[in-house]
Amino acid sequence: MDIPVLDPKDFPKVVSGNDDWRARFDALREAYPAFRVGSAPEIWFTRYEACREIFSNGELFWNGNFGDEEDRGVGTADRVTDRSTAEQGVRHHVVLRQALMNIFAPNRAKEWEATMHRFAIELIEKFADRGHCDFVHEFAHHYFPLIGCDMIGVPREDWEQMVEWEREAFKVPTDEHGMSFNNDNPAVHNIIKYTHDLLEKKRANPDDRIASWIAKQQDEGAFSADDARWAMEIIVLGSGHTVASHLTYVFRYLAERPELQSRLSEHPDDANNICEELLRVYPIGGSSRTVTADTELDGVQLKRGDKVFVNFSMPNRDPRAAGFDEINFERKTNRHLAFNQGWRQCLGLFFARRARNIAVQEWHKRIPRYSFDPSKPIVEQVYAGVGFHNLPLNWKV
Amino acid sequence: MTKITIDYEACCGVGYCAQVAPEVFAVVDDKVTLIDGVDVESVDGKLLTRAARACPWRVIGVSETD
Repeated sequence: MDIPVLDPKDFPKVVSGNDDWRARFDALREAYPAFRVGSAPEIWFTRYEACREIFSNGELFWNGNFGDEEDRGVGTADRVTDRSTAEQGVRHHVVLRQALMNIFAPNRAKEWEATMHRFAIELIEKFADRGHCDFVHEFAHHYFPLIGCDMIGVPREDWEQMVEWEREAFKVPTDEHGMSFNNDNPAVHNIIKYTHDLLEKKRANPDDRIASWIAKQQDEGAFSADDARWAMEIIVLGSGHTVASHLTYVFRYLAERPELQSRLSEHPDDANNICEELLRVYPIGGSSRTVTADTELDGVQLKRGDKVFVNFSMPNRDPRAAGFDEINFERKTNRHLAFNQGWRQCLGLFFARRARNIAVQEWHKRIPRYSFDPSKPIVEQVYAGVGFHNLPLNWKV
Repeated sequence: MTKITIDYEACCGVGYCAQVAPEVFAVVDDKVTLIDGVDVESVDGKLLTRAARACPWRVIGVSETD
């Protein structure tokens, strides 16, 4: 099957908040199992089963390891991994992930609940009595990044700087490789340098936080120096925007549905199911892979070295996937791909879910009824740091 | 006696355990499950350990008890 090439003008990076770009992506999925955009190398795959195969089969659809050049989407054709090397790479990644489960397992996420509650309450109480806020600037951009700073062991005096860098890092990409974050932005390089420096500081003066633990793993030989540095980077860059962005979609949706606000006030435990379904319907970003051997996927012939890309919105809303043809907050199992899937699934997902649920619960305890202010234009970013740039909310005090 | 523990909360249905030991593990709705009627005691302990080590989420624990 020839791969159609679509016009880049149909893929804006920033839209007005009322633009239903996901509906346009749904139409593209129905029209094409795969396509390219202009001269960009990535082949977008659109349908659920093919996308799931891309994520599950790490030997054939390789993602580099913890943020090397292929992982960050800046690799060059002459450095394409072959299948055998990818197999070894998957095994190495699995070993690292297993070690990192000492930090990221569900029971470890539970230990941070009190901290998550504290940050949520502190942020909300700054504006709860005011009757309005910009949810993005006054809550979302701060909440999970601050939790991450505390977990990693960033000194308190550096927290606001880290939050600012993380906000900058996910602005609209200006470089051709920026599918996930803005590689040209100084903030990305500042974050990388800061995390490397922090690793050394914690090696010299350890505490009970993640950076110290990673330094110890390196000193004991469990992690190489590269593994340790990349673990630090991925923890920061992987947490700097995702939960913030997800929360903007959650609250944008909830702000126009008072019945759901009431439900969350009366049944706070429903937050997980409701938010997980909203994550399926409004996922963040996408992920690339490099093909390691000639193959066929969904009728498309792929060659070794091809780059494939999945925008999570397309497979997550594919009606071919059971139950994905409707929004269902009572779904018992939600097989969406928003956290990726398989061997490279988001390592922080247990933390992300727990923090998200706590944010929603603490909000509805204090602000049980609120609405979106349609008089203020909102802007939505579609690439890299997907999400709303602003979200004005109002409520009665 | 061979004992298996499974952290179902941590399981995300990657399925490497089922690829290594399909006679013991299966993945249903993105969660691992033990094959009906499997007698863990009769399964080669090394196979169980390989299956456990294959899991990126370190879901499966294998231990020998008296």
